[in-house]
Order: sequence, then C-alpha cells, then structure tokens
Amino acid sequence: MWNRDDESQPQDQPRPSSRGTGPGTSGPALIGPSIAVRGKLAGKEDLRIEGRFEGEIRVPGNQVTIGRQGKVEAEIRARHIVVEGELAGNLVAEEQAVVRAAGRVEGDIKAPNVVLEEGCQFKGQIDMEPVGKEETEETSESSAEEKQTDESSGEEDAETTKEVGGESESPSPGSGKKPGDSGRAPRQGRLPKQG
Amino acid sequence: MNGLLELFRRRKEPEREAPAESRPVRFRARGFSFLLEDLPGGRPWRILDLGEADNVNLNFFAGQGARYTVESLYRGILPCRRSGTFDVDCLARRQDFLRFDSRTEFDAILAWDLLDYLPPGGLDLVASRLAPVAGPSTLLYSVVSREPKLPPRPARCRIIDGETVEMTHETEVRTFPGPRYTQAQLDESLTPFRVERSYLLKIHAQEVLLRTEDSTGSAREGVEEGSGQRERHRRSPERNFPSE
Repeated sequence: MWNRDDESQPQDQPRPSSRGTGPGTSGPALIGPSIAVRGKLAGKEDLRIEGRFEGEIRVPGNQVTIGRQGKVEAEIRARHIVVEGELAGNLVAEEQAVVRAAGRVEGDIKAPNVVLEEGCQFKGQIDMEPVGKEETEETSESSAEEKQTDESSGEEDAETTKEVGGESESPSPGSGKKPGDSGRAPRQGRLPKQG
Repeated sequence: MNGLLELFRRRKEPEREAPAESRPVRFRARGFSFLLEDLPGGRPWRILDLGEADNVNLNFFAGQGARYTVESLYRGILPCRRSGTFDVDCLARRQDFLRFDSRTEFDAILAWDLLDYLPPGGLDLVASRLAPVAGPSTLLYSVVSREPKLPPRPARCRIIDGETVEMTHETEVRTFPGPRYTQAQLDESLTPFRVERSYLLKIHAQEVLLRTEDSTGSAREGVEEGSGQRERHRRSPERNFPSE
C-alpha cells in the first residue's frame, strides 16, 4: 500500500540532496537515491549514502553509512562505518565497522571492532586490529567530483563539484585520473594478497 | 452469524501442516579442537571460512588474533541450483566460484557441512580451486552427513568454544540427497588434501579433518605423548569411517 522505499528511510533524514550539511549541524551529509558520484570525497562530518558512489571516501573521525539503497564501489576510511546497502571495496574503520543484515560487502575490513549481523553477505578478509588515525587520514589532498544523474529520466546533468563539510574541493575533470586511483583500487571479487 | 462464518472459514481452509522448526544441535567437536591445537604458533592464523559470515565465528577467531576470511561456498553454488543446471559443469563455468589470489595461503579452511551440498563431482572442483590457497600443511575441516536425505540448505555453523560446534538448519524437512561420502572418495577427490582424522558424531554425521600432504609424502614427526605436549601430528591417524 505504501511505498516501501519511503518507509526504509528514517523520518528524520534530510531530503535527498547533493548539498552536505555543514559541520556542527544535526544530520549527516547525504548523497540521495537519485545521485551518482564518482571521485574522491573527504570531509569532517558524517556521511550517508543512499545513491551511487564510486571512488574513495575519507572522513576520519566521522561516520559513513551506506543506506539500504546505497550502492558503493569505493575504499572507505572513517571512524565508524555502517553498511546497510551494497559495497564493493575495502573498509578501514578507526572504531567499528558494521554490516547490517541487509548489507552486502565484497571487500576487506580492517577495524578493531567488526559486527556482521545475521543474514548479511560478506566476502573478504577481516583484520580486527586497532587502526591508527593516520590510516584514515593518509592524505590531506582530497577532491570531490560529483556527477548528478536524474535516474528516472536517464538524463545526466552537467558535472558539478562538491564540497563536503566545507573541507575540500579540488575536482580534476580531464586529469586522466581514474575514479578511486589512490594506490589501492576497490576490490573486484578477488581476495587480497597476504603478506 | 459470526460463528457460522468461522465454521465456514474452517471448512474452506483446512489446517496447514506447520513446517518443522529447526533446532540448534551442539556436538563435541574433537576434530575442530584438534584443528585449533594444530594451527601454527608465532604468527596470526590465516583462516578461510567457506560458510556464511557469522559474527560469533568472527569474534572467536578475532579473539585468537587470526586473519579471518569469508568466502561463501554456498552462495557460489546457488546460481547453478536456481538455474536448474545443478551439475559440476555449471559450477566450473562460474569464474567467481572459489577463486582466490594465488598468493594467499591459509592455515585452515572451514568447510563445515558444505561439501554435502555440492553436485556430483563437485569435490574435485572444490579441491582444485582450494589447492592454490593451501600451504604445505593446510587443514581442511568438514562435517559430512551419514543421512540419505539432508535439509535443502546447509546449516548455520557456530563455534561455541574450542571444543563445541553448533549447527542449525532452517528446517527439519529433508529433501536434498545426501552424498554420504566415504573416506576413499574424500581422499581421492580432495587432492591435495587427505583425511587425517575423523570422528563419528551422534547426529549421524562425521567430523573430518584433512590436511594437505607434505611434498615428501611422509608424515611429520610427532611429539611423544607425556612429554608435556599433546601429540600434535599424524603419527597414527584416527579414522573412524564406517566400513565402505
């Protein structure tokens, strides 16, 4: 009777928007269900992804949540990472990584505390060792390149840049650098090499 | 009026038989206990779990400082089962079925009851896919059923402690044909692994601990019992398979 997609979103969520909330505001920055982003994303506030993201995310000291509708191919570094949707890529969490029952993760997890809820799908390696903050803050250089897509119409808007939390903005369209080029590409269904 | 309606409804809808509920079954897992004792010391264990991701098992191995890898064997099988072509050729065609980086080498592989859910000939394929990630002394742990019929899906297997494993099936209904492997089948099909120990369980199943054969083909020197250490290596393999 009711739209289940609407039900899956908490009532206090901001409306889908490419605009992040500034630091100190109540809700996390949101990448809404109709938005697709490619590139590097860095900031100092919580982030929730309900749309598509491909590349790399670094929000040291903050939380990243991949919502039920979220589809992400990226390496994620944050304090706390929660996956309710789909993720292909490695996770490094300073405190905790949680894969919810509906979550699907194909990638490696490194965090001192990992929770795999019953029913979740996980494929990869788990390393439950303390993560130094420097591991989530490896670079001060960051960029964000956002491509907004109206999925309902199939039309793509012009590429725009995005600043998250007022932290950084250095898009490099045409630089030739592929999304996620950070030395470690997101995993694509292969187990990692072990030392 | 309401009473009549209720009577009519009952006549129209005969009571359906409620599906049998699954209940967890715990067993003393001597084979698993032996596996833990025989894992190498001095570095983090490298464990490959072919079952479903499970927080209990994760925490068990995390507590041991192990590197824990999950690769669900059953999810690799599912597309073939769903397509109706449940044979080894279908599995072999799947490039993502148990494919690993060739440089990964695990100390132990946990196959739980999953070998029972392979199509005929599937053991050889699994062995060939696991061989690249098996070292000179990798242990393979499995629980194989003696029953002719199995529940349609593998059990959720949880490590309760170092000596106890709990298996829970979604249903008690048994529809899947059990392969009832013999030791000879396991030895022959799971090369380079060979059965080193097996323990009959009261739940009509058998714990099996296999190990990759040394390159020399010889058994390693064991430590004498009574010298303060338990005999750890295979001087006299315990094999309790029923007569074949």
